[in-house]
Amino acid sequence: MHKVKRTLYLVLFLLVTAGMGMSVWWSINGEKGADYIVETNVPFAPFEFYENREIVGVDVDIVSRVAEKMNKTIQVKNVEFDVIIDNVEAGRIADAGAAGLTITPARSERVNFTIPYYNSVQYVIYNQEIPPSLRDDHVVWEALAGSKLGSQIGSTGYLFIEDEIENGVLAGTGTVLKGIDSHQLAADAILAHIIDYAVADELAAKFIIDKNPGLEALPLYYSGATREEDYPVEESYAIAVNRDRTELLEAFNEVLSEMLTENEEGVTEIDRLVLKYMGLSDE
Amino acid sequence: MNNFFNKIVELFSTPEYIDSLLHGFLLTMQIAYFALLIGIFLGTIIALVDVAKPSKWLAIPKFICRIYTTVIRGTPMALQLFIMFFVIFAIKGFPSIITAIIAFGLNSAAYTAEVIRGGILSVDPGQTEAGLALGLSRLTIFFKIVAPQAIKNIIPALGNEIITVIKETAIVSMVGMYDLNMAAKDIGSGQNMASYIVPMFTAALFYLATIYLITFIVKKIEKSLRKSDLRAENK
Repeated sequence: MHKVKRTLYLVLFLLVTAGMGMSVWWSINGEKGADYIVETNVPFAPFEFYENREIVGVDVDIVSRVAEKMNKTIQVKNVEFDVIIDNVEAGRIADAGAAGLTITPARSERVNFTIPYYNSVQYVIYNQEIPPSLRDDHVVWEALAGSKLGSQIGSTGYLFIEDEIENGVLAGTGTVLKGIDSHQLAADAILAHIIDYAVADELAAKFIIDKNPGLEALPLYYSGATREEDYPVEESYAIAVNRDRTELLEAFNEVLSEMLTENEEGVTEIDRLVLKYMGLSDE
Repeated sequence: MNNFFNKIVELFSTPEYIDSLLHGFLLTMQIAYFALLIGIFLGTIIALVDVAKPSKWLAIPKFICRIYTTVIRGTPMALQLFIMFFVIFAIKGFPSIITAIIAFGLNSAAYTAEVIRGGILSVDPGQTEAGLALGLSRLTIFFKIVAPQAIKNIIPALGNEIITVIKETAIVSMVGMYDLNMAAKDIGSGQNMASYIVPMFTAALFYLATIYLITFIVKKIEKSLRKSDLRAENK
């Protein structure tokens, strides 16, 4: 009896191991053998997000256009946002990064950027019940002085705030910056009263306030001499490519300039895709 | 609060969300299962080398094993995972699930080794001496006298290690793998539910249910190993 039981357990163990092994084998077979690897950071709708566990979005469409043009296979991989530039610069596990990356001088020193394909502005997300002092339809940096701010760590919002605290209008005001895992978590942190305001890119902020009735968002402006002269905190997205992959950079630039050409109605391919992935068009 | 319950209903009534959670759960279990197999196998070897009678052949292996457990146990798992992904296995096209399994397996081996070493040392050395006095070989003493008693002491702590590894795999979402934790993040992200709280709670329920089941099995095994003990709970 004891022997039979032991054999049964052994068979059960082997079956489970075999089953698990097979499922791992399947998942491995699904992901190997691409000529280039492009890293991204999900979720950043509408540029990249999961749809049934597949990464889709504007950036992914750009990448697949490039793959078509070069007649190569390109795999899009999800990683932490702050390691993308490192990995692209090293070029060992990634050839390019497409994650709504803003062109900044520090990043440009390490990787090649394609032509910019989207202009975005920074938004301040806040709790409706505790708004910062508003200037009509926007918020200026000065209104954030002395508060606790949060932003996705390594994102442009984060870098902008860091700059302002170090040697901008927020210097010496006791403003605190917290780096948070994602824009979405920063929004949850506002509701949990961990931070007062979050700074995020326009489209990400719009997605978040759309689904969270308690939250509101307005564009962030640098204050000018008068209210009318305030100007927005702007940035341009581009794709980062490893310095040695010039053929990839050229292909990206070709595809992007095609996609940025306006059609008869004055709408570019990129605009169309942004609307599509935001669920605002009929496609 | 009403909003919270609405979101729970929304999550459980959307098949795509449940599907995502189940897929994430599968990856979590795949990594944990094979990591534990590697961990127990390697851990046993390390423990045996560590408790073996010192000799000149074993001096170097013993030293290596000691360094190994010290380094692995002395550094955070998240850092080990990052080093595995971005330094050691920074090879284009290398499947990330294998990297994750190796990272967690090597980590678990160090802890399992200590558990097994502790279990073996808990058996009174007098029993080994008695065996030697009776003229039994060292191998027979180990397999027939020491090991059966050691296993009884090892199982509860090993159960603990299994639970730790399952929960610790949640950090693979840091390197972009779609595990249970990532599924919760995905469902909570802007274009889905735009709130992390409810998906995180649901993922926690998945972990809790799995670990409850494993605790139950480990308790059963413990009990069957202890059936000859004179303890109050068995009467």
